[in-house]
Order: sequence, then C-alpha cells, then structure tokens
Amino acid sequence: MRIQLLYFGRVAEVAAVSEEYMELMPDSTLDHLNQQLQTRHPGLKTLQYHFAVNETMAKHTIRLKENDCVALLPPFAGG
Amino acid sequence: MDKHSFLIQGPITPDLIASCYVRLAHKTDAGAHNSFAGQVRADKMDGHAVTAIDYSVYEPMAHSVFSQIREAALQQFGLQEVIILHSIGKVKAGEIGLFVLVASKHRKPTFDAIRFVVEEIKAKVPVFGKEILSNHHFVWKKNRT
Repeated sequence: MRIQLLYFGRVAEVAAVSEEYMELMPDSTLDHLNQQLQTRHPGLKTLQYHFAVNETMAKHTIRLKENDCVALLPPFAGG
Repeated sequence: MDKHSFLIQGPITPDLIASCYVRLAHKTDAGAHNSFAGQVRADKMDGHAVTAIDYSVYEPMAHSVFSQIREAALQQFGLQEVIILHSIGKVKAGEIGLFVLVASKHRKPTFDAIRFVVEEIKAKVPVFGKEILSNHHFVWKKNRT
C-alpha cells in the first residue's frame, strides 16, 4: 500500500525532503513505518518528532491504511 | 480578512490588531475584551541575538486545531467571540507573532479563557520556528512547557 509522507521544520531539514511517498506492507503500523523511515533517513534517529496521521496526532501502534497521509512533526514552537 | 482565518503572512501589525477590536464592535452583548500578544524576543545564544523567527506550519492541521481550540473556548467559558491570529514566515524581534482576543459579557471568564487559548496553541498547533541569529546561523525553537 502507498502512503504519503510530509516532513516539517527540523525534520524536513535533516531528511532533506518535505514530501514523498512510500510503499508499505498491508497492515503496517506507524512503528513499522518509523523503522523504515529511519533506514531511509538515518538522521531521523537523532531527532525528536511525533506523528500525525490524516492531520490527527497518532500513537506508534496504530495501523496504517492505503493513501494515509503521515506527517513527521518536530516539537511545536507556536506563539 | 476571513472571519475564521488564523494564519497571517508576516508580523501581526498594530493595524491588524486594531481591526480585530473593530470586529468586536457589533458584539454589543459583550462587556469585556481581553487579549494576549506574543512578541519575538531577542534572546542571546552564544553571544548572538535572535533577530527574527521564521515560522512554518502544517497548514490544514493547524487550521483544524485552531478551530477546535476556538470552539472549546467559546463553549467552556461562554464567550461572545474568540479571535486568534498567528504569523507564518518571518517575524522580527520586537514584532508580534501571535495575537489572541476574547470577548465576554463580564471580565472574569476572559482572564481564564486567554490563558486556556494561549496554552492550547503552544501545546497543540503544529507551528515550527527557526530562530535566526545576528550571525545568520539559526536554531530551531521549541516551546517550554
């Protein structure tokens, strides 16, 4: 299944990408995705970030679906 | 300015802040306004001052979280209006990057509502800030809890 990835702030800078797509095995969790992302972009291992799936904050245990949009969000700095 | 747009390109100017108060003039059931403004601070890092913050945002998620915070504040504190403006792009030291204005029948709920809205924004809205230093280096900003 194909998912969309969005990178922001320091995460985008370290991964040197702001948007890309990835093929995952069906029923993959966010944790599986994270392991693959850290292989693709080793710099991520040094960073603090959270995930949002389809614009909602999500835990690592959730299962992803075809066409989900996963955002990697570094610490917030609003205000 | 759209009533429910939350993001402003560049700093939140005094004119923009004045226009927020003008928008409340027809809310004649309100008797109290309260506001918060977040100003970019010229912190020093290794002897170099912060000259600006360059804000970026996950726009669709930020819009929905700002809306949720606004709705929660309206209900929880029984407010007449909540206006939230946050900058995207570059805001220089001394300029305003966040402005919150609440209106209520009486003064007391406005104090609690302002604190609620500002703390919720800091904790939940996906906004990212790059602090630009006087030597042109930069540091990614992280909110204190």
